[in-house]
Amino acid sequence: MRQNVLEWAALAISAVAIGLVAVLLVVEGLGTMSAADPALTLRPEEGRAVALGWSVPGTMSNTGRDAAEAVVVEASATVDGVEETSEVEVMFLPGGSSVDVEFGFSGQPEGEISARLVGYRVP
Amino acid sequence: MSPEDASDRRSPRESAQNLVRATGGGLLIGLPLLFTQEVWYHGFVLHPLKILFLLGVAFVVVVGYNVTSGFREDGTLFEVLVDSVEAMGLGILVALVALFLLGRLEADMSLREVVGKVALEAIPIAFGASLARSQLASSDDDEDDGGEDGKSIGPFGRLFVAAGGALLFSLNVAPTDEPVMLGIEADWWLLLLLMVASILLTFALVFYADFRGGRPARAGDSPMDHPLSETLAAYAISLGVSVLLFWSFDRTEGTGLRAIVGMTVVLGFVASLGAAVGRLLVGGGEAGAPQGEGAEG
Repeated sequence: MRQNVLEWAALAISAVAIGLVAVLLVVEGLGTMSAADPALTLRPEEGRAVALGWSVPGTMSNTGRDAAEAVVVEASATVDGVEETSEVEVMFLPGGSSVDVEFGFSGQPEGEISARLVGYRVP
Repeated sequence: MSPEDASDRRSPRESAQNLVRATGGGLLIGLPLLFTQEVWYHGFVLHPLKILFLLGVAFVVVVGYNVTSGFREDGTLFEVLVDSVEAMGLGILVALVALFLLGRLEADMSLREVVGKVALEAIPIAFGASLARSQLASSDDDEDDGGEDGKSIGPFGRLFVAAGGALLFSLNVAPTDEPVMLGIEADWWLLLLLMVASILLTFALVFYADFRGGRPARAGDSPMDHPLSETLAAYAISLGVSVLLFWSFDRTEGTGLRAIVGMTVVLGFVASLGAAVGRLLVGGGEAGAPQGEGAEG
């Protein structure tokens, strides 16, 4: 049997860890599943000049519960009067998670930057 | 408490050594999967209840291994269960810390992703923790805990350990794309040859190669206590474990029967080697048989 306080502590912590993981998996598993829903929030005010032009940061998030794979989004903006598009692919976007991305343009965009989802794979 | 009782008690230092040994063993076994992208990926793609099922299977294997390996030979089933809870708990904690240190857990991740990754990575670490306790203990600890040698676990106990070994080995390969690719691309005759090679190789490893834990190729009393029937049964179990893992990792959904058979035979090769190593680790042959006997027959 457990022979000192360290062994009792190890047992207690182990039991709590297992219980916590099991409960969380059950709660997540029995919760309502919803399809992946990738979204993009651009932050043009944080844009900055980079060696190859202008970089606009953004955050891609998945508000659904299912994961999305190979998510491709496209941002369009006008630079020096010319319409430019920039594409970013995120390999894995788990449900409820987000990842930071950067869109590249040849120069600082004028006006609004629009974005659209090109597509993704359902894992 | 008598002075004898007090001297039999493990000191905190010995318990700490035990925990460090289990952590080290867990990392040794779990390291390949901690560095495998597909496992992180399956942590958030697999249905949480499927991951829980895998954790449950792993717990049964850990309990079975702790029973059959002879660690705490003089202990009760309750003590074995408690040891198994510790091994699984240690697996979860080590996986949590290791994934964090590797930068695989971040604040903006969903709870499902974090729990899924930790739970999947905890499985091989828990196996390693159990192995370390029974196989990597010093001879002093062996004496303290009853040791492992000289305990015959019987043919069905060996098959249980074979299933554990098969699961441990194939778990390192099943989440990756390679067994799927190999299984789909292989010709039928190549798969047949692989089956024959798996059976012959594992037979030779356990009954001919004279490894520590190997046994002479002699038939026992029961039909399952025969080298050929044990080898075939262990191989069948390996194939079953392979199918189970492919199903667990969503590899069978939308996949044709021909492809599933090919994938299973390919992964079965890995699993059958694990099953053989598992049987070698627990031995279970004649207690005190000279090592040279394994080469006979």
